[in-house]
Amino acid sequence: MRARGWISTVLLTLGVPAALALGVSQPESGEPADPIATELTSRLDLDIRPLLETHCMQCHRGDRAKGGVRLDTLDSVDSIVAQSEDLRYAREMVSTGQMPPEDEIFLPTDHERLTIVQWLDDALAYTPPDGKIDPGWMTIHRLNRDEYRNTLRDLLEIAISAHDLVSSLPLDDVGYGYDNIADVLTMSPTHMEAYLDAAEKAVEIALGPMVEIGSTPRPMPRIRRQGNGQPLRQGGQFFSTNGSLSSVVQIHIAGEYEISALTWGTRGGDDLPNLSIRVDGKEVLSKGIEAENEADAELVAVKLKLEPGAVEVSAHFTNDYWVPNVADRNLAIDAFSIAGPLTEESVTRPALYQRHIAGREPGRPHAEELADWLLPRAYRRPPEPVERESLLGLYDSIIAEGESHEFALRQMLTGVLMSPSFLYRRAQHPEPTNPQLVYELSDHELASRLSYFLWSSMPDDELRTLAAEGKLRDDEVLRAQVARMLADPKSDALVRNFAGQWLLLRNLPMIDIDRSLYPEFSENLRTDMETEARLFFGDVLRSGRPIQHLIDAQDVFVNERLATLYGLQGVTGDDFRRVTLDDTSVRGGILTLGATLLVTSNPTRTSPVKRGLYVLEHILGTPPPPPPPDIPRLETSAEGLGEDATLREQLAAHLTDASCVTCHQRMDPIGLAMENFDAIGAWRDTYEGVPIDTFGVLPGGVEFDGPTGLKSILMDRLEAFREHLASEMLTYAIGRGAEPFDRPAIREIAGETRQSGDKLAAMIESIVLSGTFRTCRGREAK
Amino acid sequence: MTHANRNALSRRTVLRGMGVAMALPMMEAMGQSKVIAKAAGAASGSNAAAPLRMAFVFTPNGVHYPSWAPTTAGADYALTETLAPMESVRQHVNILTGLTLDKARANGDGPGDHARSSATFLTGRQARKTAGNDIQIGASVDQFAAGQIGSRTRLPSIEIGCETGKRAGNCDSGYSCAYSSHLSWKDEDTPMPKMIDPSSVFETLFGSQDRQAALERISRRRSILDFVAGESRRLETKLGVNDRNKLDEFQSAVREIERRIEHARAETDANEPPTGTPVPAGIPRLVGEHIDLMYDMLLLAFQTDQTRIATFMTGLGGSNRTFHEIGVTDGHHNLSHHREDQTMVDKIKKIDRFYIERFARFVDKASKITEGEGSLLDHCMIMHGSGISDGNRHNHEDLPIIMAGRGAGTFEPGRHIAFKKETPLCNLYMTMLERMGCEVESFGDATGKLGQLSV
Repeated sequence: MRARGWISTVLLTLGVPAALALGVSQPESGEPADPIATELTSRLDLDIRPLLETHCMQCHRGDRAKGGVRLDTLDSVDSIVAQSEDLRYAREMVSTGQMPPEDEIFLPTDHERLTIVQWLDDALAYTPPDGKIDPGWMTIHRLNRDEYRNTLRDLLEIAISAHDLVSSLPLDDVGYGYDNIADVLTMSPTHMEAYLDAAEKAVEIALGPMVEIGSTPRPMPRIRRQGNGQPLRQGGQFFSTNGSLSSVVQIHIAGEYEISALTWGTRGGDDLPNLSIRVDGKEVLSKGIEAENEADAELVAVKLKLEPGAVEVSAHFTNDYWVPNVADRNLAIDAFSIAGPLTEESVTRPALYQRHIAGREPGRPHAEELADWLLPRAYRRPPEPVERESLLGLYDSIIAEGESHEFALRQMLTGVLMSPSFLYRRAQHPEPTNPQLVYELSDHELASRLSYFLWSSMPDDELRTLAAEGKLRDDEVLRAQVARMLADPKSDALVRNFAGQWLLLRNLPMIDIDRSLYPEFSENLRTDMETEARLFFGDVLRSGRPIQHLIDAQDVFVNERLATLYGLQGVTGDDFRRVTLDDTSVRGGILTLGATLLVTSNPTRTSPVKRGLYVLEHILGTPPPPPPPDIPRLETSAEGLGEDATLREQLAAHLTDASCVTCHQRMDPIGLAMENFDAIGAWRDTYEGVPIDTFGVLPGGVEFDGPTGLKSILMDRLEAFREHLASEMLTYAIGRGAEPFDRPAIREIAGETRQSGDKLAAMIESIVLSGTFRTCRGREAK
Repeated sequence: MTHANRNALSRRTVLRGMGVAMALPMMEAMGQSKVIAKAAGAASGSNAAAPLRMAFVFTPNGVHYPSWAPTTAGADYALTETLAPMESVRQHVNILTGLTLDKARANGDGPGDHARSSATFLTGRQARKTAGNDIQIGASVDQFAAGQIGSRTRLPSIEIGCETGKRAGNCDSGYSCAYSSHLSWKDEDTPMPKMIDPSSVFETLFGSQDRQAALERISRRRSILDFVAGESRRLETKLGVNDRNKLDEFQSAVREIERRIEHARAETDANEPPTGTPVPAGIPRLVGEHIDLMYDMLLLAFQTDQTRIATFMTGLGGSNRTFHEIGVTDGHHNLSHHREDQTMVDKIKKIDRFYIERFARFVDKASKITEGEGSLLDHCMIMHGSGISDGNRHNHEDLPIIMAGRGAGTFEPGRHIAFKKETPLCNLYMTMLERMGCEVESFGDATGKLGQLSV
């Protein structure tokens, strides 16, 4: 039934391509290139071998190389793999400064040393793409903030947008660029307090407040009196002038209530003393009072529907009349009270309450019914009998303390929301510390992994049913589920959480822009940029578009503000719409998103270096090593250049400095090609009065010009982009950083994606069907 | 902001009157009431000894060292340009130079000085270079102390800060963001999250103001926590050793919340904020106001003896924030790589001074709170500094460290003490831990204790 390659070793015949200059790739037909091998070899040829020749090869060359360590034979990834033991040793020697020996004339600079070590690290981590697939381990995984919030939403049917349940939860730490990495998600007392707060609040929202139904009157709280007269025994007043009793009542639940008061009066003139009862200033009852003394006092009551919130209720004496020694009309208002909600029928309860609490006979059978509904959902698997008993034990102990049935049920809910079986998800590997033993996830474990990948939430009924029937592990069923789940609006979580982190959209709010330099920037625009990026990624995902579309698209999603920034005509209003660009437009794709251009800028200007780095790191997955600390800043490195040197001229200084050139010859041209976009992403032809030059040459002599040229270069490097995207998405899908041993799996996912027309949805399907997603192995004790 | 007049509504006042018997071991209960009596005595000006507290304040990106470091040692040292704001409080502080964090150096691990500067600052350990799959550092000095003596207060320690971690992407050269976002580590792989919002700090310190809700909540939570502890014991038996370690975080958090609940009932009015204390409304827009407000929360925590151990991360390791209120619109980290460019150096000096001004204000406030025969500050050890010396060079020797407070009479402030080069910063921590009453044989890369803090 499952005929996938992950059970056995996948063998791909794959020739390691000859060293390719960066920017050139094999045609898409035939065996795909190995982009990581290409990258390593290219760096070896351009950056590393010259350093080795200067500093190492006097001794480490030929058959008589010192220590038997030959560096002159390094020419391809094959030779790296063959010599890995020697290279590991060399790495230690170079990084700790033991090699080259101190008496060497040409000692490498710290930066050169770093360049060599960085390359050696990457080379030693190189795993041929055709090796055996190792699914890696699965660590017990605390729900992160988004997962927790969405799970509460789906379990308890809470409209999350209306309630901020996670505001007190600490932000989750990021590892490998994502905040859902199991090994990085920790638990502290601060978390525990926040989870308790959130659980209690969630239960209150899901079931509504706990209220007693009945008609027993309760005195109004903190009554304020206006008007003259004598106080009465039950908190009221005998009014000798017009006046009122008023009180602010907290109504917790919508329903029918009864407001009442005991009244009597003295007559004078033509009318009876009049009582007016008002709610938030609006009269709900007006009555002439006939009773003339306390013994015959009249109980006046009015029933009415009240909504949740603070309500001001008041009782007024409105028609005082006094002719000295002739007539005196007065009114006593006492025992001013409220009762209710009067009946269960009159109360508006949340759906969850109606379905699982209302109308049951109080008692243990009801508690059992609730447990049987709750546990399989909250724990995302059938509960063990002992878990059910334990939860009912909680119910019993609360009842034994003399608390009410409903209170005990609420405590059961809160308890489950605090249980580690709810807060953590995991797989039951039979030998968790045995790295040799591969375990296939159960149907329920797989359902959970799948729903947290695509929805950042718990499995729904359909997934749960399929898992219970033992059908979910079937390839065809899984494929159908992936398609269904991606079509569901809940897959917005994948866009928000995956794209939001991969493309750094979540850092947008932290980007500081100097408004005096960019007066057209606004917080609305910042939000628009994020929306645009999400709409764009969501469109590629759901419209069955290929991943090439991410690099170069024909459409953008804009509203009026963004359209104005981008120089597009005819878009009005705040609403976003798809606009198809004409062929000459440079916009389209990730690189020209306002979000991308902003997130790679400094507060006062663009940063070609950051933009170059963004492309290398987030699109191609080949970031250069970070700069050493004592590197000159670019504005000041250009000594000898005039005050009015352009950014390009200043950056050119990188290329004359040996410690800069290896990395900056890759970054700077990419960033400079984007210089027509200012720090907030608007088009410009000049900067500080000088026309912008976007022509660039990459290492290996590849020439290109501007954003269009850059996009076409990236299209040539589709292999690298595809593999990098697969690696990022796999990291997110399994909540574990991709390790060198994941390379064959990533390569397989990338290969299948390519065969499926490079559709983004096909990549997701391939991940879900992969052994890395569906199995795990043990991990040695740390 | 609203003003707290909490005496009528105080949770702990309520709890004392609750008359509900909560199980507390006799010894512990007696110990607690003694501690409280001491704190209460100090607050009312009696002769009872006030407790000793310690706090660690971290500032990111080092300093412009030549403008920071005094050139002469001893009591009559001259304050430098950057340290000038300390003038009015110089009698309360020692300037410490010559201290080193060797484990923040690369030592073969390559770039990542900023992540290491925060990760190593209070741990003295080399952070394992990982983006997350196998984080390893070590317990920090505050948590070392909290583990031994933290149970004397309701909160063993507090962790506060002014900047959230990055939400996406890399933090520093292959180091997980956990390293650059936290100073405080409970154990080798569990960071203590910090509170950013002053109103959450206030809430954590003093709880809800609603009397009835607080009462009900405590009794509700006790049965929930019992249930949860049982569930986690059962789960534990199914896990391998790695996952058990992870679940252990959960279990110790449960125990800690249970302990706090028990502790809450033993408290007195001395543990309440003084009447009229403003209740913070959220995160202020300006960095300086935010930092000041967090310092105020720290003072309140110490003043009310809610805790005696605190860490304050004013910015993340490698922080790139801007400071509009002093006209610095470029990012801090970008500026720190100034290569002696005068315009940039001037801005860095402004930022350095800005952090010092905030600290001086705090020291001044702490010195004016009467406690026993002296001030609150006299019963404190407040360390202020960075894990990098010069942001332009990323060096981890000659760290810019200031120590405020008399350490309950064991420190002699008012001096610049120049230690021998390469003296481990952890030697200072050994000294502080000992003063706090901790058993400590070794810590981080310490080689001993610092001798010159008292005369």
